[in-house]
Amino acid sequence: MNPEAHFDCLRIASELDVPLGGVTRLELQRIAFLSCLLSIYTRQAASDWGYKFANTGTGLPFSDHLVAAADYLVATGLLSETESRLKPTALGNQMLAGLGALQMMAPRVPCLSAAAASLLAVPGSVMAEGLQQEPTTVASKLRDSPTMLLDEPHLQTLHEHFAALAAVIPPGQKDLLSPSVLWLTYMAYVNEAKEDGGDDSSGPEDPDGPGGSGLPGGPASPTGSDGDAVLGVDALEDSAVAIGYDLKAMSAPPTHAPPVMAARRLEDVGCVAAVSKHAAEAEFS
Amino acid sequence: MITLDVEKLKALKAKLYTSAVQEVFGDTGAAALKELLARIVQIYARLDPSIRSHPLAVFADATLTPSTVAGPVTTVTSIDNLTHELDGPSLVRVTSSGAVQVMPLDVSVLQQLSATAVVYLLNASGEKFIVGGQVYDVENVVVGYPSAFCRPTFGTLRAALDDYRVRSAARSTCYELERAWADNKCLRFKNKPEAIMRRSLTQFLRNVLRNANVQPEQNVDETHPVDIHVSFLMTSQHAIIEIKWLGKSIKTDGSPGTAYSKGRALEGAKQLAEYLDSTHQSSPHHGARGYLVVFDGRRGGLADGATDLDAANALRYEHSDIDYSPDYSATRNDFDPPMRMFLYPKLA
Repeated sequence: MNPEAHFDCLRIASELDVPLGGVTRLELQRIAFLSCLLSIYTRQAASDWGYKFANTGTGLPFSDHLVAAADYLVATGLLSETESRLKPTALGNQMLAGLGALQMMAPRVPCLSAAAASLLAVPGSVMAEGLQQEPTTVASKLRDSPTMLLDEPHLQTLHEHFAALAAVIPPGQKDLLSPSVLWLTYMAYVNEAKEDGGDDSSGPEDPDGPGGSGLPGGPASPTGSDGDAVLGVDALEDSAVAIGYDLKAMSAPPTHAPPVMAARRLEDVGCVAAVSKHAAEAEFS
Repeated sequence: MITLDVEKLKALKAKLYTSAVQEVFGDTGAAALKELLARIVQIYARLDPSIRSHPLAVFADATLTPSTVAGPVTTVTSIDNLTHELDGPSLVRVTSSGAVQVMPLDVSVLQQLSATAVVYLLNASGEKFIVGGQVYDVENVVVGYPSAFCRPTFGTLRAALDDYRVRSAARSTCYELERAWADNKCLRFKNKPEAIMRRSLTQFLRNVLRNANVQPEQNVDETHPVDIHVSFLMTSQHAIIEIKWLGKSIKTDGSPGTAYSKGRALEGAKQLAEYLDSTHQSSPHHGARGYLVVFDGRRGGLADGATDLDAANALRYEHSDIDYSPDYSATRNDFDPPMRMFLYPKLA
């Protein structure tokens, strides 16, 4: 029995009980995996999560510990399962409160909460596509058999992602919904741009030496003291140009890239969680 | 493998309401936003937003001091108990207890309200969050539905496909699918529109099938028929979707491209049947079911170079269902009846 997996099942089902009437088993796997990623973002080692994930071969992160936990919780009446949705029972909520009181579970809560909220904040397609572009998942898809995720050497690339993410998130803020949505949206958007006729490069490749953060786990500045990122710009740029999008303009200050224009480009390539920003006065006039 | 570019991240972050809430209100605001998102989804599960004729604003306090809003307040103990309270222009305060306070909506107060609360607004121009006086539009990818927070679910893949046919494909209202056309009257496709069609349908299915893993496949050649693979967790059942298109296409230089008539749909059916046979042989314990989706953009009397059509010709194939011979859906139980999606032209 894996206490972390049991806690995660109950917590995720509880988070989505009110808005969605529970969680499906597929959503459970995705949210738990995203929670694990957010844990890594907060400088926890991947091995500290309590259970591992594998790639089933279709890009879906999968943990048999979660399956076993969900089965057990349903069998013992702590979760109900109707219409493919898992919901906590009154007994399950009691168990959740008990497990939640354990100190070992405390660091998991913000990760699980943000990951579950991400499912509400972004479309399902962004969640699915974003997670499929996670570096160790991408690497595992090139192998013939199911492989474990969040392992070296490609875990290093994930650390570099999170180093870049941390560089744009104001320091001192602990809630993880904002970095979660930002990372998912970025990854889904890049994937759409590539599918749209861009160059998918040659697939996974090892990180370019220690150019990233060199972190064992979690975010830190990947840069020199001047703060300029040294993370590589991938084939996205060329891909985007090939399909007529000016990504450089997206990165420019608003005066050079009007928000609505930039938003339209994002929309065009499928980045759709939330777009243009403009003054409230104009909206209400 | 994707690497992240900090400047692009910053540009994206500047457009996300989630990031704005965090920046303006910090962790307290993020907690308020989570509450707000959950309640919006819950409200739309109870009250269909597509029948709203008045704006709706929903907010969650993001500071320790509750926001002040003038006007009569109706308190409802649970969203499940809402009946007609939101019929008119409404402003709703959500709380962590599950109770909601409903007030008449005066949109002019929203900007001020956004200084102390995370505010969501649905009106005729769409959905947006208002955070610290700035408006962040919410793009809705589930085309045909009025809100990104309205979460349609379908019991069967066929039901989802039929919904896609009606809401997204028929009028090319899906942003992705709209891009498959070479002209704004939807007379001819761009050259090789298959990838756009596959992406449009994949995106839709991912948004509405909560318990299915939807995976687009890259066709390596014309003999490899699978376009979309749909698997269901913890079962051996899976579905394969073959996409074909009918109509004319045009190359980027303006010259005529590939054109397909109903024979293309028959080819697709044969390919799908053969692939199902192959799948059953290679994985006898896995139940595969095949779905043929035909995007029908055929037009009558469309001569090369023509830029306009009368209605009779433009709609000639509207009701021209395809007779499949052999009809695999009648002779085998793993072949769903093919679904033709007629794509309407845009007539003046």
